[in-house]
Amino acid sequence: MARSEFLGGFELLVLLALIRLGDEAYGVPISEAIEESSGRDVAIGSVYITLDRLERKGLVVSRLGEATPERGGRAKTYFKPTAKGLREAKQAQRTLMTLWNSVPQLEGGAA
Amino acid sequence: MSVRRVPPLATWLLERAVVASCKETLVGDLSEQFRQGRSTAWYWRQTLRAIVVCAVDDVQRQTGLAVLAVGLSYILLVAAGYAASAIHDASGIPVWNWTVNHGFDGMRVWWFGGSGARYQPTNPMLVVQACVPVLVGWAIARLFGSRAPATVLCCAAFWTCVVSTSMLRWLTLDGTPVPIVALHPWSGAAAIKFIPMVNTGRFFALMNFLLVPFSIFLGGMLGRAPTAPLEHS
Repeated sequence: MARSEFLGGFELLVLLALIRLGDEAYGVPISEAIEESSGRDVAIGSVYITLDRLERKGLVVSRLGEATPERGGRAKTYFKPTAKGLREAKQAQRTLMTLWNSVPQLEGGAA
Repeated sequence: MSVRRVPPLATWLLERAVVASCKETLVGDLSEQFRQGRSTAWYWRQTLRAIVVCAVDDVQRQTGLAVLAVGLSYILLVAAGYAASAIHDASGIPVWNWTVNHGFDGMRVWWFGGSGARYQPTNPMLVVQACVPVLVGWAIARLFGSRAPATVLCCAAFWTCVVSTSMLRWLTLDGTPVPIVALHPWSGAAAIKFIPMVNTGRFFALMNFLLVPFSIFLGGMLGRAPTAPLEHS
């Protein structure tokens, strides 16, 4: 069985946001999705560095989109998860749920 | 309806200071968001965070290059100091005032002997003093090409630490020995020497503390032409 690296915390957030957004995922909606979920400010630059790292790991692929005058003539880059990326996300979910269920202090929303 | 103009200085910095395959997309995203109503402060915050995050990521992946750049910047500034000293000794012209005095003064004392600093700063000379670090930043940017932003920032950070010894003048009494890292020109040996510093005043100490790293960074940005996005293998 091939050994895979653990996904970092922010890598997992970006990957999950990407999966959730579907085909139209690029930097801005991904960072907005993470901000809405976490309540924290997210730098778009951090999102792109993480996407670059995920792409090097083979977990996401990118494609160039359209350029618009609003973007100063610069094209968007859309990202989508690969099959490997989906497997890694499911594995991360299983791992976290297993660990989560064994921590009684965090169950039931108790302070 | 008029289109809002993105902050030009922030965009100029982004195009030069970010090394990432998605640089164009990042700049496009920020422009798009700004034109949809985000504030100038938001644009600047995103710019500065992108510069730092991309530089840290690049240094983590190419640490050797960053170390090489810092070493090279040290050699270039040392060479400038020695050149200035040689010209000063030969001609009597106070070109010593044209260079950054901190590490150089310590090296001058170590190599040439004597004690105390013969550097006497004046207000106009602070402007001229910035020229050598700007040229060093520019040279680093030219030499390291696409890796320039991270390496220039490393150099600026390194020299911030080195010239922070000048801040000790702000805190210490006149004549208190402060450590200066000195590099022997021929043997290449480095040592920390304790040199009694002449108190040249808080203003000059603060100005030099701010001037050197900022000048290196400015020179690096001027030397880095915006190029096509770096393609990661």
